[in-house]
Amino acid sequence: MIKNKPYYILSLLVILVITQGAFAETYNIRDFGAVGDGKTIDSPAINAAIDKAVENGGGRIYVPAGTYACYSIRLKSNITLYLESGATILAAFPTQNDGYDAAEPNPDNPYQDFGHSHWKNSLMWAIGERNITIEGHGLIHGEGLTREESRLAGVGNKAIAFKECHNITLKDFSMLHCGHFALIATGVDNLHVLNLKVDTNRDGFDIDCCRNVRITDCSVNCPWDDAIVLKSSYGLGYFKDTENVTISGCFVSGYDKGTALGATWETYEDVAPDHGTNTGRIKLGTESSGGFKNIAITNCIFERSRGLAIEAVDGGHLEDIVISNITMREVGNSPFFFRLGARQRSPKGTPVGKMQRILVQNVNVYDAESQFSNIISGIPGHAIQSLTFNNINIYFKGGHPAEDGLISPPENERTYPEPWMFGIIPASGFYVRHARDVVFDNIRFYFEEPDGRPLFKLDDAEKIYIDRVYVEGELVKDPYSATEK
Amino acid sequence: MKRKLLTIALILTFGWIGAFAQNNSQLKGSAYSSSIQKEKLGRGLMAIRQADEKVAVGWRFLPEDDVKMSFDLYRQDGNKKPKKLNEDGLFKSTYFIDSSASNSNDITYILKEAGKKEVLAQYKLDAKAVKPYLTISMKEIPGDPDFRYSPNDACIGDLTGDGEMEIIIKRSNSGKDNSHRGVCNGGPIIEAYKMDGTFLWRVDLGVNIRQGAHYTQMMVYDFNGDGKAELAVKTAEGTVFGDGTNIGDINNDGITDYVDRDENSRTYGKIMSGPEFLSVIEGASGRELARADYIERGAPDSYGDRHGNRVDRYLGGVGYFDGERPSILICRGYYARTVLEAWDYRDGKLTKRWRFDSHSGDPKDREYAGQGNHNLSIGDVDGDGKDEVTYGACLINNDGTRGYNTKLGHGDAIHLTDIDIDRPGLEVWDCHEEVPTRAGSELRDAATGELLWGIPSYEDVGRALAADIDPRFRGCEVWTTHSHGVYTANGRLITERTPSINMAIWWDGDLNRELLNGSGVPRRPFVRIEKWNGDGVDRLSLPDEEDLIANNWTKGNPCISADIFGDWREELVVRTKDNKEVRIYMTPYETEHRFYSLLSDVIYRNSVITQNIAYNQPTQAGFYLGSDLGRFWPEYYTRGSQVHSKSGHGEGGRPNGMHMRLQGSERKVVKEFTCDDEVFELDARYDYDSYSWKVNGNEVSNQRVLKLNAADYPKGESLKLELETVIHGGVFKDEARLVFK
Repeated sequence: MIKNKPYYILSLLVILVITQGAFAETYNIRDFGAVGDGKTIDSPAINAAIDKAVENGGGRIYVPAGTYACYSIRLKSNITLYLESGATILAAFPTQNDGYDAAEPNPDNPYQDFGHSHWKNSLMWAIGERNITIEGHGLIHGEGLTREESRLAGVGNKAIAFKECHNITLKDFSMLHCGHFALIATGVDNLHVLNLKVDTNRDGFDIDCCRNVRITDCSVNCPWDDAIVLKSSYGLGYFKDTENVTISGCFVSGYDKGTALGATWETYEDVAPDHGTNTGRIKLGTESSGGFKNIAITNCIFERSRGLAIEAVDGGHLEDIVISNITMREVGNSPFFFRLGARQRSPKGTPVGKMQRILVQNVNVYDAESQFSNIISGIPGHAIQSLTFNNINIYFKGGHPAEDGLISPPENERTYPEPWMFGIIPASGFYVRHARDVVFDNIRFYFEEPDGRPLFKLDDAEKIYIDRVYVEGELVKDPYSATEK
Repeated sequence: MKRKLLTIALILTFGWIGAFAQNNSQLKGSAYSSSIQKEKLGRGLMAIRQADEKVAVGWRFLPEDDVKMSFDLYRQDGNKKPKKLNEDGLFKSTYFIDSSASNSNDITYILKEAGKKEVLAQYKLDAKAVKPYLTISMKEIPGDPDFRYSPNDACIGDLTGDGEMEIIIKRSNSGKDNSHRGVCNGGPIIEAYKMDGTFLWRVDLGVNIRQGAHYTQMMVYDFNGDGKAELAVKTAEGTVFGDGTNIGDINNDGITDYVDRDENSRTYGKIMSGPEFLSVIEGASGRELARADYIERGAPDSYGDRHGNRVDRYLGGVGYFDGERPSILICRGYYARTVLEAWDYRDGKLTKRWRFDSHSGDPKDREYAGQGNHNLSIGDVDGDGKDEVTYGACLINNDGTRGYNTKLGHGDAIHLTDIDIDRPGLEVWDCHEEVPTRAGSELRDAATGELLWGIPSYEDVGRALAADIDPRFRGCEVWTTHSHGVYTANGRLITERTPSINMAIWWDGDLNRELLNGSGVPRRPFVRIEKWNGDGVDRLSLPDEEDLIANNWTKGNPCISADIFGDWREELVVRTKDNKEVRIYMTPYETEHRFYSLLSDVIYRNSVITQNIAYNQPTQAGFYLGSDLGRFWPEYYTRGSQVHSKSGHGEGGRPNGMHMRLQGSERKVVKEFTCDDEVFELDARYDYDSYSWKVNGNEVSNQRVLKLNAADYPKGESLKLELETVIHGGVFKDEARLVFK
């Protein structure tokens, strides 16, 4: 029908260029008065640029090289915030008269931490918006943000906060020293976090009540708290699952703050503020009022961190999880900590949750602390179900005497979940309590020091199948006996 | 290079507020002349019964003693022949536990230099003195049979000229904060007692001196060099001295009571007019020796308000402003107008040396208004041998001129000592009230005021402390009410668990400092010594501690805590709940260390004087006294598994601070060196007073940094490397091996 195809394409291109020009204009923040000297508060200029773009139907907010001291930047629909190489958005320290937007009221504050319940007291935030992208190779430096739960007016404690948004993309930039959260996304659907380098003083990414999330190719250094965390809080005031999430190709670590991004990789500080070892891990929980469903964590590296923690303690259902192709070095507590508990930090009457259908395979762990070995623990009457561990290598430090194998850990059903809640664990390999239908196949253990505790210790556990267990390369005949060297 | 990396990390961690000193000159913070006029210290021999058969005996090691000097200690039971208690001469410490001392007779301890006949000191322990502390009973004040006057701040000084300390103590019955209205029941009473409880004299400051922490600052020191200490204090009409003399109606206006007694007045109970004096009082008698006019009240609101609050904020101290003899420092104001005056009391006369006034009219002086704290530190910070005044956020030079000014403003606590031992000179750890600020508390160079690092704060940082409590980290540790944990001297967080932020005391035998906390709140009073265990504290109990109460309400201070007698550890002077006595506790712990009496360190002695100025602060030495002394060789820690810690107990059930933490993390010391370069270099890692490096027993250097040429030594042979250093009389030695490849 159309005879002259090239002309047709050309005319289509022309139309495309024209429409792009009309609807995706670039707004240079310097044109709106941004100074970029690291001292002048430039957030009013950036917000003015955003408002102008919104007036025109959206657009690209261009942040050229320079350091822009800012208080709250209010992100809006159809905006791309582009951080040019050499551009730094610097979270300014509040003064007596000026600071971040006030935390909005939230009647459901009691069910999760302050940080999870408010979004506006952040360096960048959006509530109820869509189609937002932050990208470019610049830096978001949260220097003026607090990692504490300060309720004082003007104080900000998060770098990027989204609530009830959809179609959000974060790409390529770096984040340093970002307060309570580098990123908190609550009730966000279609979130893509790609190629971020984060080095912060508390949590990295908190993905809370979000549906369809890709976290891909990110490096997250968080010595003082968790690196990538999926949550399911009651911060929205209603239950919403976190589901359909992939975490892939990510590196999480617990090097001294700032030394991952600075590439000096220092290891001077060996304690996190909660008095445990450096955190820097991938975790599901602790906030778990809603559920976690259909989640894949794959091809990730843990270094100098706590191990993988899977926690459902507030009533949510945690199910259909695949964890595969993981390597961990220098693990400060349990490489695997699976906990179904009854903390129930949820509206009154919320029943105890579930934890089921989890597949863990192809995991290598080197240099792990032995005190808490691995823990799989439900609570009486609420068992963890359908769990498979397949093809796992673990190099433990060992060194515990046989009498530690006689310890009977407390149930602590309502306690905040962290491996040390049970004290020393009476198994050198896996401690399995209140669990049903668990398969262990091809599990290889190594111990730096002989460990007198049994490899596997079961308590209120049914249908536990243990096959092909090795210690130091030798097939173990009785996995319930102590390790021999 | 290492330092540079650290700098980068700190920038990233805290938000930089200054840069490291680029000029790393090896200048020591303080450099006093050897001819400086110091007080003459005696041997300070003290014996306190700890249990039925057990007596703790301590004495001073003095700067005039040879660092190698040993002692012999004898005990004479009643009139029997004295018996030597030690076999070898006592060298390691100047503290001895006599565990065979019967309490059936009076006993006398006799101290001699080892092998010598001359008696250095003797102390008679009365058979009736069975309590493990000294008791000084407060003399009843006429009209106060119920002892409503409570013993408050105390000072020490040798009032009688025998080389031993006496106590001067303030008693008050209705102290008021400046911000509160109300008439006090008379003025504060100042009394002097000997250590054996003998009452010396009483001065009644009278109604024109209001009772409260900010009104009366006592400076006790030997100002005129006659070997006996004087007391310098603010007085007024109505002050009655130890000899009964009353200042009287000096201005002949017919008024001797200037208290505002109008209940409807904003300044009800305050003293807004009438003459104000600085008096120098003889320590032995309590009589007045000299008098001058105090710094004037000036324009009604120049100090910050019009209702008698901020105008009556006084600080004081003692400083060697001329580098030779001590002067009296008096100060008025810090919220706004700030005036400091230095006075000399010499040859029976008071003469003004200098005056600094922020409201002099010079706009540069004006920038120093509002920078002072509720306390101050005095010491030579720039190595000129003369004391400067660290007046909160700014420095006033020894000649009363402007030093640095950080302009960070007023605060409630300050500490001047060698906090970061990896940089030259002294540092200041200070906290600030104005918020929000990027430097709610900050570490700064004491000489230049350069900010090294700080912890931002959104709230008034009301308390701060610096002390070496943790042997795992170099130098002192620092923390505040708003630090959310304890930090190393270079700004690394150790743990989020913050211990008490009150006083510090060298109490048990190790080189780390213990924490002294207390409460003067009647319903929950306590006085407590705590030992840091790396992630919290363990408590060290005091005998009969249920009788004790701290001073100054929630501030919970002792009357004083300082190295009053005995060895280098600090004594603790506290009152009892019934206000009838103060008790002096001496450490019951043995030690492996000895130092010259801390009183012989000028900055420490200055800090003893300023301890009880307004908001009390612990003493701080002019050098680093902590657990990194003697740790010459490079070291590092390996992380263990017991990180989530609990307190542990060591030998004899005594809380052993680091037990659990050290069980987990291990300190590794590099003691085997190989060198394949032409020159081997090794740093002693601190500025000691002297160094002696030896290779195979031959001294090769007396410098801090050892440099050996490989050419001078056989290759492949293991050489014995020894280092012996001395600091403030304390000898530290250790050895290592070295091989040139």
